[in-house]
Amino acid sequence: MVDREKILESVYSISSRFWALMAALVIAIIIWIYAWGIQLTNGLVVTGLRDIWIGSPWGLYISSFIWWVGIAHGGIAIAAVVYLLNLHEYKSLARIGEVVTILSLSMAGLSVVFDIGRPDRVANLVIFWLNRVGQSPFIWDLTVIVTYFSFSVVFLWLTLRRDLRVLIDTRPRFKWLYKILLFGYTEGEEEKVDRMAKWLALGILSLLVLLSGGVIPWIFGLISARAGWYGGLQGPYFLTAAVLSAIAIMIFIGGLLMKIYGWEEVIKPSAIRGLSNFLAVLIIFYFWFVLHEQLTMNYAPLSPEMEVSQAVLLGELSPLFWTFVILLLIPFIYFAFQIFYPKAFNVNMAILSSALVLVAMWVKRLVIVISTFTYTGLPYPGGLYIPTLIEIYIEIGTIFLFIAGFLVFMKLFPIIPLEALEK
Amino acid sequence: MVKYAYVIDLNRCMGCRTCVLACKIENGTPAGIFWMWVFKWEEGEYPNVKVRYMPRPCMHCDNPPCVKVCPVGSRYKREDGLVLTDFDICIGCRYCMVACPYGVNYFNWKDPKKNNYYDWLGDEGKDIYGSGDVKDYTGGVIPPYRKPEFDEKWGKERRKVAGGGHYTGVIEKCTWCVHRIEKGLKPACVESCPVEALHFGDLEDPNSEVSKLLATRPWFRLLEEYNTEPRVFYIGQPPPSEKIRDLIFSTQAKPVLDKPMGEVVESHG
Repeated sequence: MVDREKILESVYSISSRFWALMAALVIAIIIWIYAWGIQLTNGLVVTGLRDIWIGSPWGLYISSFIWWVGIAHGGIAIAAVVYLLNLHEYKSLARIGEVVTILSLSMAGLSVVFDIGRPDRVANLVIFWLNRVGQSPFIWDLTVIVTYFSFSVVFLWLTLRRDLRVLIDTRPRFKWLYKILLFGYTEGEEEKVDRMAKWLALGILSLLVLLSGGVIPWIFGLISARAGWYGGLQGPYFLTAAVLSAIAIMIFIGGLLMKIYGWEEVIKPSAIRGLSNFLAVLIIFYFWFVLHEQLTMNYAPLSPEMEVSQAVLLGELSPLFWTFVILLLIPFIYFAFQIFYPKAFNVNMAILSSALVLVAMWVKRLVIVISTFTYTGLPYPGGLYIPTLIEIYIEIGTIFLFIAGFLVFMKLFPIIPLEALEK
Repeated sequence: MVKYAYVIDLNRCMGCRTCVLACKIENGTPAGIFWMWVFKWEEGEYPNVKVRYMPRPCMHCDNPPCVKVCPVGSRYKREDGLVLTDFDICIGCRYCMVACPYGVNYFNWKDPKKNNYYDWLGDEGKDIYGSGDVKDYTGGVIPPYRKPEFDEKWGKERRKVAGGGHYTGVIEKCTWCVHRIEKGLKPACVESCPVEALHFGDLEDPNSEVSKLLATRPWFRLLEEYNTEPRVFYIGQPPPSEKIRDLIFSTQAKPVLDKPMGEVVESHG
C-alpha cells in the first residue's frame, strides 16, 4: 500500500511551498475584501456597468456566475457517473470533482452577490420565495442551485466517511473535526452509505440537466426584449458549455495534482486522456451550436438579432468573440490530433490546453451577456461595456477563494478517495 | 375600476422637454436618471428629412415583463394599472431593466445624494460645473434633494412606491406620479406640457379626454410586437420608421432600427 501512504502523506505534510502559496493567497484575499469594501460603500458606480440606454446593466459578474456554475456541473457529474457505473479508472478524480463543484457553486453565488445593488437585502430572495417562484427565472435558479449544492455537500460527506475512519486514528490534531463529520457512525455502514451515494448520484445527474440545461439558460432565453438571448437554443447551448468547461477543469486540476505530487500511479494518464477525447467531441458540438446561432441571427435580414450578431462577428465585440474562437480552436486541434496519434498525448499539453478552454469559455460567457446590450431597440445611444480594474479584481477574488478553499480541503482530507487505490 | 392611460400627441410635441424637467423637479430624480425622456431623431433621406420627437414615460404595460422577472416582487402591478417599484424590498439585481424593451428603468449606481449634484461626471464634470462639488457653490450646504412627504406608503397595498426617496443600489422608474394621481391630480409632466401634447386619464370612462382621443384618432403603441400591452398611446404621427438617426447623442449617432416600431391602429370610434 505505498500509494495509500503517499496520499495520506500529502494530507499530513505541509511544505514551505504550501505556506508560501497560502500566504500569497491570504494577502490577495485581504486586498479583495478591501476592493469589495470600496464597491459596497460607493455603490456599483465603481464598475463599468451602466443603465441599459448607455451601457450594460449586466457584465463581468453575471458572466462569471455562468462560468462558475458551468464548472460546478461537471465536477460532481463525473463523480456521480463514476459511482453509478463504477468506473474504477476515473474514481481517483471523483473527489476532486466533488470539491470543485461545492467551491465553484459558492463562487457562483458570490458573483451574484457582487452584482446586486443591495446585498444587505439578499434574504428577500428567501422571504418572498413563495410569491415569486411561479414567475421569476432568477428564483428558479436560486432554488435549483441551492438544491444542487445541498445534494453535492451530502454526496461529498457520504463518500468521505470511509476515509474519515482512517484519518481519525492517525491524525489526532483534527480528531474533533473528523469526529463531528463521522456523526452517527456505525460499524459496517459502508455498504449502506454506498447505496445512498448511488441514489444521490442519480438525483445529481437529473438536476444537472435542469440546472445548466434549464434554469441558467432560461434566465436569458426567456427574455423576449433581448435580441441574441431570446430563443430555445439556449438550453442545449448552455448545457454543452457547462459540461465542456467542467471537463476542462477536471483535466486541469487532475493533471496539475498528478504532476505536482507525482501521482501517475493514482490519477492515471489514461483517465486524463479519456477526458481529453471527450472534450474534443464536446468542442465540436459547441462550435456547431455557435454556427447554428450565428447563421440564424444573420439569415433573416434587418432584424435586431442581426444587429447583435454583426456586433459580435464584425463590430465592437468582435475582438472578444474571435479571441474565444482562437482560444477554443487551439486546444481542439491538440485534443483531436491526439485521438488519432496517441503518441502525441502528454499530460502537460493536456493541462495547458484545458486551461485555454477555461479561458475561452469565460470569454464566451462575457460575449453572451454583453452582446445583447449593443442593441437598444429605441433611439438610445447605447454604449460599450468596459469593466473597471476594481470590478475585474473583485471577480478574480473568487479564483483566489476557490484555490484557498481547495488547498485547505487538501490538508484536511485526502483529495483522492482511498478506495480508488484498491485494486 | 379605473384604468389609467397616457395619450401623447406627437403632432403637438415640439421637443421642449418641459415634461422631463417637470418630472425631475416633482420627483427629485438624481442626475442621469430620467423617468420622463424625450427621444429626438431624424428620419428620411435628403431632401425629405424630418426631425421628430417622442416623449417616453414608463409604459405601465398590462403584460409587464419587468413584473414577471422580479425575484422579490418589488415590481408589481396595481389594480388601476400602475406598475410600481417597492423601494423597500428591491435587491437591485436589474433583471427588470434587462427585461424591459423600453429602457425605462434606472439604477442608482451611487449614492443619489452625491449623484444629484453632478459628481457623477467625475473629471468631465469639472470642466462643465467648475469644481464639480456642490458645496463650493452653496457655502458648504448640501441642498435637500429628498421629498420626505412622498416617502410615506401609497395605494391599497401600503407600499413605498413614490419618488420621495432615492436609494443607492435600488432600481427606480416613472410612477406616473402615483402620489399626485391618488390625490386626484394629473402627473407632473402632463400638467406642465405647454402645448397639451400629453393627456392622462381613465380609459374606463368613455367621456374622459383619453377615451375620446382614442375613439377619434388613429393611434399606435411602441414596440407592440413584444406583446407587452403598453398603456401609453401615441397619436398624431405614424410610428418611427425606417432608419432613424438619434440626434441627442449625435456624436455616437447610429442607425437604431430598420423597421417600424409600431403599427397604426385605426380609431374604433
